[in-house]
Amino acid sequence: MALLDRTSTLDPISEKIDAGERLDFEDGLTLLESDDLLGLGELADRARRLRGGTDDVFFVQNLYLNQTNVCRVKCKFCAFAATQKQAHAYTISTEELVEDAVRQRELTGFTEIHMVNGENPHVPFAFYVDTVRALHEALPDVHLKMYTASEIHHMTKLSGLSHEEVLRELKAAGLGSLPGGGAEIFADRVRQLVAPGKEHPDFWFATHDAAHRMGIPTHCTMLYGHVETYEERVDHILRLRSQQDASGGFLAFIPLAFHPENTVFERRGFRHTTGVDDLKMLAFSRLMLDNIPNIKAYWIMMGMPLAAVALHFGANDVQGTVMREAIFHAAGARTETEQKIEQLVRYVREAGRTPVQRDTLYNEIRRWDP
Amino acid sequence: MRLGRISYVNMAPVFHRLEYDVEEITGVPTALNRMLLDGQIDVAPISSIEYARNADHLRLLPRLCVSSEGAVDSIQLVTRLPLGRVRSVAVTPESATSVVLTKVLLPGAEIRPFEQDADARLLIGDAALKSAFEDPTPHHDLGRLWLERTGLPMVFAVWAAPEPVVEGLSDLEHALVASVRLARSEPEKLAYEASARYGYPAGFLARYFEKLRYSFGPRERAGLYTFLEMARDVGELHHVPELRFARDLRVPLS
Ligand code: SF4
Repeated sequence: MALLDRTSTLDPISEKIDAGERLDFEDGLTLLESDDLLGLGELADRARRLRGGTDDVFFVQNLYLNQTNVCRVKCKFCAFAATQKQAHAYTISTEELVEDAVRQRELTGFTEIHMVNGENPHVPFAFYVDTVRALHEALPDVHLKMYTASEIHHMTKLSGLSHEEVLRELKAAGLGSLPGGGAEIFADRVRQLVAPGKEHPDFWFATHDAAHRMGIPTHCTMLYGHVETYEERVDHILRLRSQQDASGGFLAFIPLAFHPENTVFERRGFRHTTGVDDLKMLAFSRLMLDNIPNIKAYWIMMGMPLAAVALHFGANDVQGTVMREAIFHAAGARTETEQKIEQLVRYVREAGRTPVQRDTLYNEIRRWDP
Repeated sequence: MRLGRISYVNMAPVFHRLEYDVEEITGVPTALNRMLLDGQIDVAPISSIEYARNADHLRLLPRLCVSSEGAVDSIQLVTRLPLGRVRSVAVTPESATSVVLTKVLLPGAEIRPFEQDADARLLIGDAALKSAFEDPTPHHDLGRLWLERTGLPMVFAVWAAPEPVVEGLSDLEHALVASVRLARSEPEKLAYEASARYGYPAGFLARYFEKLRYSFGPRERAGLYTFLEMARDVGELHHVPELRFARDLRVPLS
């Protein structure tokens, strides 16, 4: 019986995929409602290949930074933000941040800095421009992927400039691309519930649209697994797809599983997403987003074992990162980052794929044997 | 709908099996560019630099361009000198974008008409390919140099429509994309047909088409913009326009 069900619900979608046709809202719901996990994986992997995907699986060496955790927004899912008065609030000076990044670069050789922050109302716009410029001058070969659309929007408030003008100034200072955060779930209902203080999603799109029009590539995300419905997930994905049709600058889509720990949702009994939902989301997004080249299985969130399995569910990128290295690690000892790379390579190979270290714009840096 | 068709072989995949009711207007790039700006054509491919010079009146098709990732074979700089010592380049005015690309990659060099003597010669198209086989002088592929310099694809041409854009443009775009897709799935047929039409050997064309990319992705956008910025820096462009696409989703923000 289960086999019959499978034939009846995924079959029409499978035909569309083979014919190169676009999936619609109803198809999206069918995918999310399907219990045929393996069928979804097979379909997503086939779609990926039909659209030109290969066995290459990418990861990047990047350094994560957060310059300030002070945030005026107070999203309900956020365990990171602090108010200025709280003891764990911090704002790192540009000099200190650059010094730290330069030191880590000597130890780990990352090619990208990924930085997002709280929306700190106590710093001026110059704080951001100066930080970008100082990082770019100190590390000219490092790609600066910094500031979510929400932070860009925050900067328009700080400066009185338009979204375009803010982006132009940051680009002139050395900004390379935008990360995809701040998208959460676009539907108004969900935003009211989880991020009432955040700007309207129109601003998220306006920022990415403006970035694409000035040749700044960006990323996009969806935070799933909280109060959103399947309909709202499909709606979110379709909005991203339309934006990509119009301005085409998204390099990758990253589905982000919601972590309820240390948020109000924990007390309300929310639990972490299950692996099944994570795999389903990856397959679903690969199938729906026929115009975004890369889908990331974010191993830092889902764990490397599941991320490796996800490579058979439409993902072709496992992100990567560098570990914070102590300054005085013993000479000759393998650093934690090197160990991490070895582990990534092993998992990717085990999944039958070819590990490729990339830079932010998906240029190959190093390739391992399959 | 009136569609401008440049008689360059690199456009063959896009026109391979175009299933859309259009009036094709064939011509050399300069004539088509003028017609495009006058609104006598509804949409046409246009060289990247020409697009940028007229961007105020044009909208881009968001899914199509002509680009290469590394070597293209058809744009070669031929010189005995090490590149760093080239002070003058003789160019044919045929390809505006290739000339600007040369200036961008060799900002110190003087550009001269093709008949004159120079440290290096810029060869385009068939001449470039033949020369690479026949002439032992070192050849530098500008597509590869560009990739080495920027890490990005080189966008030679984009598709543009004059404002206000004609109705049905995105359907046409869809048909063009479908044509490229079909061309990709039958590379031999494409090569033989293009060979009959444009007169190059089919084997050469098959290899040539493999090196070209037609989808306008995020890397291509970044590559195009970087090229325009560098063109501005060498005085070939007054200012770098924002890329405005045909399908505008922008919401007015207060
Ligand atoms: S805007 Fe970002 S940092 Fe601030 S509360 Fe929301 S998620 Fe947290």
